[in-house]
Amino acid sequence: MQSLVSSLFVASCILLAPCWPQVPAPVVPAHPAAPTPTPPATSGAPATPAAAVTAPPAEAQDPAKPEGEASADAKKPNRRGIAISDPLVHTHCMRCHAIDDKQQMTRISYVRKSPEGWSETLKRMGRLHGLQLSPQDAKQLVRTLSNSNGLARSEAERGLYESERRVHWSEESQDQDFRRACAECHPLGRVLLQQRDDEEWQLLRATHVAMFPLARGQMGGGPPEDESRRFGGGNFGGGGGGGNAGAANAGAGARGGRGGRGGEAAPGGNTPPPAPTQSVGDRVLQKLAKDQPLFSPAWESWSKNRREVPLAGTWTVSGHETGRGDLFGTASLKRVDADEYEITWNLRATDGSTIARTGKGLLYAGYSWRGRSQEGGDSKAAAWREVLLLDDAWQTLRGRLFTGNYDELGVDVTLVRDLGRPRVLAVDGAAIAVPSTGHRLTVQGEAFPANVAATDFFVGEGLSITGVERRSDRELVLVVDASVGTELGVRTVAFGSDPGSAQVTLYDTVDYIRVRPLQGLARVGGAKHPNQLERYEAYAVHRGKDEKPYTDDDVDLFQVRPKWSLAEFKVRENDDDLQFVGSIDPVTGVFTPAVDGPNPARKWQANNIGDVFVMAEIELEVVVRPEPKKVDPAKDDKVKDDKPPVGDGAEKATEAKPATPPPVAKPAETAPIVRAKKTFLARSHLLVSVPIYMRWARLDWEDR
Amino acid sequence: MTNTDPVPPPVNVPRPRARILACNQKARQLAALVLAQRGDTRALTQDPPPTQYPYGCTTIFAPGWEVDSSNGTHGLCQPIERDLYDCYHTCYWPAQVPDGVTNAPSWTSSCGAPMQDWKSIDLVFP
Ligand code: HEC
Ligand code: HEC
Repeated sequence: MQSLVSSLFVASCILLAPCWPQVPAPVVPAHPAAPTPTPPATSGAPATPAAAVTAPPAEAQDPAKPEGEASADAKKPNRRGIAISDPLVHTHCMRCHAIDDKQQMTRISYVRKSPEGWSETLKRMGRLHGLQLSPQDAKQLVRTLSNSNGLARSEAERGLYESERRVHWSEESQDQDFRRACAECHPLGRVLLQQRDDEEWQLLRATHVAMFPLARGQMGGGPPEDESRRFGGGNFGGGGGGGNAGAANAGAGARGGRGGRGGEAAPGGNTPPPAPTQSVGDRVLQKLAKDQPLFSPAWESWSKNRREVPLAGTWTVSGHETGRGDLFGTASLKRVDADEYEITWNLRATDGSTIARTGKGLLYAGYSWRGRSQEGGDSKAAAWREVLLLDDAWQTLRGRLFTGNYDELGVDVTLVRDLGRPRVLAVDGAAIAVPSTGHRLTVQGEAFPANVAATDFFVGEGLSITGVERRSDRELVLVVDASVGTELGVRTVAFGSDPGSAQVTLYDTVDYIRVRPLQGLARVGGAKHPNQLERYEAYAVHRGKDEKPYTDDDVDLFQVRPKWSLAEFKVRENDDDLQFVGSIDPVTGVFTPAVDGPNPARKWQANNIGDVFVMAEIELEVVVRPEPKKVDPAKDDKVKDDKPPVGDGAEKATEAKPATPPPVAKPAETAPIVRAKKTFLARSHLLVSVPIYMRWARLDWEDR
Repeated sequence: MTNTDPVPPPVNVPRPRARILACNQKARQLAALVLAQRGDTRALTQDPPPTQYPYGCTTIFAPGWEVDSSNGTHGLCQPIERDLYDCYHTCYWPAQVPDGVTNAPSWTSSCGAPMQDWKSIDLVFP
């Protein structure tokens, strides 16, 4: 059954845009005035890697020199680009991208991108324009272009969550226009990982609008004024001779354009055409040209000092995997060629499991590690992708290791390069109760001497180290006593002359537990298409310095292993999602969605999608915080007023409440310690949604 | 809306999630209802205390395709197979569904009737 709105929309589309396959497809514009259309050559069959594109070769075309425009570049003799000196690029790209006497190639010299960005561009050159590459050449091209036309460190960092293929991230802080124009199809991260000159930002929009006419609804796409003059006025495409797409696009923009439908313009309504002046899209492009220019100080200074950055050696790893817990160990890198390494991971998780993986990786553009490793080096075992970013001082690599059908299973890691001098880099068991005796703090670091002593460490007033058990030069256990009345809060573990950065938290009792992620996402699958899992974990939390639970200064203490279950998130009468969406493992907190496909047992044969609560419940024996000796009644009132334990919607927000609210008061110094069993509850939200049918983000770069 | 309601919610079309406006009177009422109930839900379940959701839909996941304007799933096209070819023909979700204009002109050739033959719908790796 198709809704009225939907059929109306399709109808308007037939009239206005070349939506049907029978209609000759518009070519992607090489330039606002596109050269001869080339029929797209993709088939729906899964997966031609960049390398093995089998499109029929397109006739030679110059993407920057449209017919009738003798030389666009001649008009702009000063357009400054990046010289392309690698003969491999010349060989493969010169047929369509002309090169000038400064070795500047049309289009190519005016953009910089991440390795994934280059890989995507090469795939499009094959898919739509008929470029043919061997797998070796494709890899080498991604590499050479990521170096000559890559990102500086700070630029790569801006969109790192996109490179890391994270499921949970936020673009809330980005400006409204930007989100409106560009965030409705793909994450803004994809945009943040590109640098272009003014003209190339304009061409990016032209490419979008030519490929996806309805994108005009979001980003506009009428040419800027000088462009329309250059190409004989009128709307983009119409003047360029790129088939009928232009005329159609104009209509799509005015009525029924993508954004128009979602916003002011209901389909079929009488929507006024967009104002001819600056649109949201124009503003966004202008801002992008300013914020993400081709030449940035960061990149210029990097490219001046360009050299091979050495990574070989041993690195101390600390990390976290949702559900499994914290991970500690080492990564060893062995150089096999310029920027190429073999990597060996040896990790141990707080749940006792160990991980030994080997693989290979490449450092792109001096900062961006892309690797791939397998358990036990078995090339048939599931691969983990590795996306890491080196810091400016070349001492720390930070990023994500991931796997899963949608790259949803990830480990956050930090690697610190060995310096050969004793220091503390990470601690396990970092929450220390006050008072307590015999707390075991596992310390990770490097070069701990054989005669290491308790007096080498310093953790501040009130804590005394009563023993050291050295396990290796990288790991030891400190036995710690915390005396009564020690100030609560966070401390740093120092060793000798090194101040350290690893922290311990002193707490009196557990105030509540919290669940992560606060909002989860899974995708149905398993019958035809692969599914996307979600994993949950729970942490015991202390209310922090302000002595109020559910505020920003609350501190995680340690992971707890609650019993997991699902509950209905009721948004309509007879809400029945719970029966259909799938199940959560009561022990591990791993949610497995139900299968894809229409479900005949459901109303409208709906898919097994829905949204539900994820519930965590655990009984813990905790210290009962003594009642305050005397309570000022005025203060008591104030406490009640402060009640709503509501955060601001960030991860830190409220999600749980102990069975008994803790009294807000200072502990009496000499009161005896009383323990009690308490049941803690917490919950999170889970969306179980639909599959993705177009997998743009498939990574090819490191399949080497 | 009751369970005997014969039609799926008319908000059931692909669309940008963040700024969706209901397309007609009925849809508007429905959207209001859903939002109101969401509020009730919070109020009724004080223990554990209400979960806070970031407002807007593009904040946490890859955009839009998977959540509706109230950050749930009840407003999505359902079942997705019913709507998939509309998305394809209109290139409405080109990042999520193969587009028929440029990048995947023959996507639908392996499957004529998506509601029946949904198992022959291919994923595309462009
Ligand atoms: C058969 C012709 C052809 C060949 C060969 C070709 N291209 Fe292109 N290229 C085009 C056309 C047409 C466009 C404009 C349309 C588009 O962006 O898809 C383009 C656009 C581009 C762009 C701008 C896209 C953007 O927005 O970032 C880049 C960069 C690029 N090509 C790189 C390359 C590289 C690198 C090679 C060689 C490995 C190459 N091209 C080989 C035809 C070609
Ligand atoms: C209608 C959906 C849609 C909207 C809206 C959209 N994009 Fe895209 N974008 C896509 C798709 C699909 C691709 C992948 C196309 C490809 O690689 O051939 C893409 C690819 C890209 C790329 C990488 C392609 C390249 O050639 O380097 C960039 C950069 C980009 N988009 C930027 C933007 C910006 C900036 C905006 C807002 C002005 C935007 N997008 C809005 C759908 C969209």
